[in-house]
This record gives sequence, C-alpha cells and structure tokens, in this order.
Amino acid sequence: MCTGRHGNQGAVELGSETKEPLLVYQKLLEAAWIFRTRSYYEQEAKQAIAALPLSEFIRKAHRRLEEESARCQRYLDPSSHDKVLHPMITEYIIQHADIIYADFRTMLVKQQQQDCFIIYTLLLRVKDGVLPLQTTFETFITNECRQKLSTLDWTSPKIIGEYVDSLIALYTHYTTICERYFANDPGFVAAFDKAFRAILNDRVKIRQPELLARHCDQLLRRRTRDTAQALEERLVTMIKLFGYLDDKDIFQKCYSRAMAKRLIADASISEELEMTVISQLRKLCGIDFVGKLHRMLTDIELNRDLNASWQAWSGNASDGGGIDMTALVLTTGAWPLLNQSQSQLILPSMLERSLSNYTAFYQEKFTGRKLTWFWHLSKADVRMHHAKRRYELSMTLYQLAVLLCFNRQSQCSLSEIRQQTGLVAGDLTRTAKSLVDCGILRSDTALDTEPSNALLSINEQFESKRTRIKINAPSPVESAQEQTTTAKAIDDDRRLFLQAVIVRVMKSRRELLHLDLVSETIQLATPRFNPDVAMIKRCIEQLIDKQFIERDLTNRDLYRYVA
Amino acid sequence: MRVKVKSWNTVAIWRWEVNDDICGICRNPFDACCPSCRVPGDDCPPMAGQCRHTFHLHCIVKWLSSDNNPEQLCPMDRQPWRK
Repeated sequence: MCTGRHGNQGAVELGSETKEPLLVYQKLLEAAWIFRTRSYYEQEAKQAIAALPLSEFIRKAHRRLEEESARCQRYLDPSSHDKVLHPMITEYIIQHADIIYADFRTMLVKQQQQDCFIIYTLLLRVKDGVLPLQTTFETFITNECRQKLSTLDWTSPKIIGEYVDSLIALYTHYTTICERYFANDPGFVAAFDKAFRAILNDRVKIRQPELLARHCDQLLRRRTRDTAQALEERLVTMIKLFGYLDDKDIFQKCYSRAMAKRLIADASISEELEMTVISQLRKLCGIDFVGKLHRMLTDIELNRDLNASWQAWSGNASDGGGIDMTALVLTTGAWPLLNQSQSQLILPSMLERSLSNYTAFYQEKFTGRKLTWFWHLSKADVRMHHAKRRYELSMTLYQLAVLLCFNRQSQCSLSEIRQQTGLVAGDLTRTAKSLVDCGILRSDTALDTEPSNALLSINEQFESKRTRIKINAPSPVESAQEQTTTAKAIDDDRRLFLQAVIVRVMKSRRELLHLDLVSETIQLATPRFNPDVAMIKRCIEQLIDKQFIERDLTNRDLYRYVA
Repeated sequence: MRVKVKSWNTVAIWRWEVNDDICGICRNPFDACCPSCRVPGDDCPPMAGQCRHTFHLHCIVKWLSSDNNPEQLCPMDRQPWRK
C-alpha cells in the first residue's frame, strides 16, 4: 500500500487485492465527488461573478481552490486531487477567463499589485493561461514607457540626462513589478525584455545608441555629486539598457570616440569605473567588441610610466629650454580618428628644443617607431606679463601660437597670423575669436565671417581679478561633416563585418542556398547590429567579384566557396 | 605684453616604421594587427627580412614553420629568409 492515510482510506483498501486496486474507490466515491463538485461550483461561480467585483471574485476563487485542495488531501486518494480540482478551475476560471483578461489591464494601470498577483497564480493553474497576461503586460509596458518618454522636452539642454533618467526610472519600476506581481516568472521577464527592446529601438530625436553613449561620457567625466557607488550602479544599469539596442555598433563608435576625448583631456573620473564599463560591455558582447577600448586604457597607463622615465631622462639631459613637456603617445589603430585638423602648425620656436629632446628620448626607448604629432590636441601653460600684472594662463597650443605673434608687435592682421602660425581658415578664426572672447585680444571686425583682412590688437584694458585663467578652447566643430563621417564609418565597418561573416559561413558550409546564407548571416550579425538584407546581398556580390565565392552554373540560387 | 611658456603637453600617435603599408601574408595593414591578434600595438610587431620584405612577425613565423615551406623561403621572392 503506497498511498498515505486519509478519510476514505477504507474505500481505497477495498480494492487493494484486485488487479486494478483503485477501481472500486473510483467508481464508488470519486466519480460522484467530482460530479457534485462541478455542479456545486458551477452554481457558486455564476452567482459570485454576478454579485462581486472582479477583485473580490478572484479572491474568492483563490480561497475556494485552496480549500478544495486541502479537502482533497484530507479525504481522498492523492490520485484524485487534480481530477477534482480540474472541473472547479474550469467553472471558476476558464468560464470567466475573458472577463479576467479584460480586467487585468485595468489592474496593471491602477497598480493593484495583490490583484495582479492573484490573477497570475490563478491562471498558472490553467494550461497556457498566463500567455495572454504576458502579452497584455508587454503592450502595457511598451505603451506606458512610450507615453512617458514622449512628454520629454527635446529642446532642453539637459535632455540627454533627462531622457536617461526617465528610462532608468521606468526600467527599475517595471523590474520591481516583474518581481512583486509575477514572482520573476521567466515568461513575464521575457515580456518585459521584449517591451524594452522595442522602446530602446524606437526612433527619437537623437539616436538612442548615441544618446546612451553620450550619457555614459557625461557620467565618466568629473563634476558630479554622486558617490562612486551610485555612479557605478547607474553605469551598470546603462549597460543593461545598452543590451536592448539593435545597433550596438553605433553605441561602440560613439562611446569609443567620447572615451578617446575624455582620456586625452585627462577628464576621466576614474580608471576603475572606465574598467567597470569595459568589463560589462565585454560580458555582453565579447572581447572583440571592447578590444580597442581596452587598448586605449592600457595606452594611458603605459604613458604614465613613460612620462615618469621621460622626466628622469630630461632631468639628466642638457637643458630643455626651461620648458616642461609631457606627451601622450597613442597606438595607431586603437584610437578612433580624432578629427584631424587641416592646419599645418608651425611649432613655436621655444618648444622645438623640448620636442626634439622628447623624440630623441622616445627613439632611444623604442626602435622602429614613427611619431606623428597631434598639435590640435596639445595644450600649454604660460605666464603672461601684461599691464604691469602677471597672469598664469592655460590654453591650447593653437591659442598659444596666435598669442605669440603679439610678443613682438601689438597688432597683427589675420593673414599675418596665418603666415606665422600655419593655421588655416576655420582653425584660425575660431582660435582668434576665442582669444577675443576672453578679452586678451581685440578685433576691428566681427570674426564670424572669416575676414582675412581683420586686424587684431592687444587689448590694453585687459584686466582680470584672478591671476590663474583657463582660456576656453574654441568650441570644436561637431558639424554635420562629423556626423556624416561617423555614418559612413559605421556603414563601412558593417560591410566589412558582413563580408567576414559570409566568408566564414561559406568556408564551413562549402555550398549554401541564397536564403540560408542570408538567414545565417543575419543570425551571426545580430549581436552587433540588425543587418539590412539589401546590404547582405551587396556584400555577397562583392565577394563574388573578389572571387571568394561563386554562383552555381545551373542553380543560380546556390553559392559555392572558392578555396 | 610678454608671453612665456612654462610647460606644455602634447599628443602623438606612433606607427611602425616599415617600408610597406600592408603585410604581404595577411594583407592587413601594419597599423592593424595580424589575424590571430585582437588589438594592434606592441604585441603584434612587423618584421623585415634581409630582402626588405616585411610581414607581421606572427604571420612570417607561422609561414616559416608551416609544412609547405621546408626550405624556409620568403613568400615574396622565394629566397631563403634571413633576419
């Protein structure tokens, strides 16, 4: 006898010696019990749904189910439990499922946590019963988030922060709901993920990959009141949101460019946090995705050591002209192209000595390496005597070059400055304008229209209460041009990536039909971006031209790998 | 007005000083890395033979140790490879 003790043990034991031990019990007792249960609850549920509001009805259903379940355990053989409960579930839940599904949305809107949870547990007893709930939940999140986000004001200067704030708030809110209402049921978590994937790939004013990348940059620069831990949590959430993006490669492009600027300007809040972001990205997208980011960070570290030994070296060497110099030497290829300027700066003569010393030092340390200087990223600290006062200024090298023209003469025309500095049109006017804006120089005409005959002179009235002044760098031209180069760079990268994927697939399969090749390529590319079928087709054509693959002569839909 | 420089800092990029842009074996630029490396830089240097042909160090080492090349020839001129 393998069953436990219960109230009707006798009925079960009656048949214990026969071939089908439970037959007597089932015929005598169980059938009648089930029949009575059904008709009783059919009646009760009908009355209840008519008389009670839904939230009370589901509570009653829940209570009745529990009671009946307990009763079964007390009086019946365990084999009967589901058989008895099933008609009851039918009468109470399945019969009224439409009403329950319809009201579920309202309950979500009104945030009736208890009710949602009860509905969820009730429908869990019905096969596939929770599926419609998951769909409702998904559309509910999607609509709510879209609605919240659409109220944001895109003209606000802080819109990026505000947008991300809202996203994170929504994300945390619905994560808690998933947990509290639906016990983190995988189906509901999946619905939640689907909703957020839809939202993160909506088109908004600024592309969302770029928006997230720019906010990460804002967070990782100094000037923040948050504690390190809060900051880290926020960054980790940002990376989770990043995980929903289709165009992860756009994020990578924007992020790496912002990171390069941040590191070169020495504006990063901490290398530890930089590393946190990188390792989070690596977890999601693999080592290839973060290789260059990692290299940038390593470069910074290497340069710290390099500068230390340079200081020692230059201390021993003969004079550097009394000018301290530090350099940041970066690996080509790891750093995104930092929009090269067109100007061929003529390096101010007093800096030449320190530069050639550094070059000698570098060549001594590394052989077979060639250095290319980025003057547009260089900065200088200078001392300026002016109107019997002394100022300590920090400025860009371009600004220094322009200012040095006024060491010998009190006024210069723009074309003279161009000759002496080597700066060309855009760089020249922007730099001159920044010096005029801070009050050190004066100009006889407005500099916005790039007049080559404009005459600049020293502002004799220049005065400042502070002796340490940081002259603002001319605002860089984050122009439409940079936008298009980014777009093109992303396009090129995608094409190369797709070609590599196609070759890899063909190399392992040798022969493949067009549709299969396309679908496999899409599958392999999706972790990075959502490839466009037209682009895949073009890549296939290019590979045929390059003779990596060929079309079958009889079946034009079949490709063959050419070894 | 008199302006005197106290200190300055500058930025440079370094690239390999080689007489070719791309590796003759993997056809990748020397500024990028060979196919078996992930990031460009010191870990993936170029290497020139006496014949002045230059390859990624990893590429030429792989070529020289492959079974197809028992005589250890430079893949460009088929002359014995010498450092």
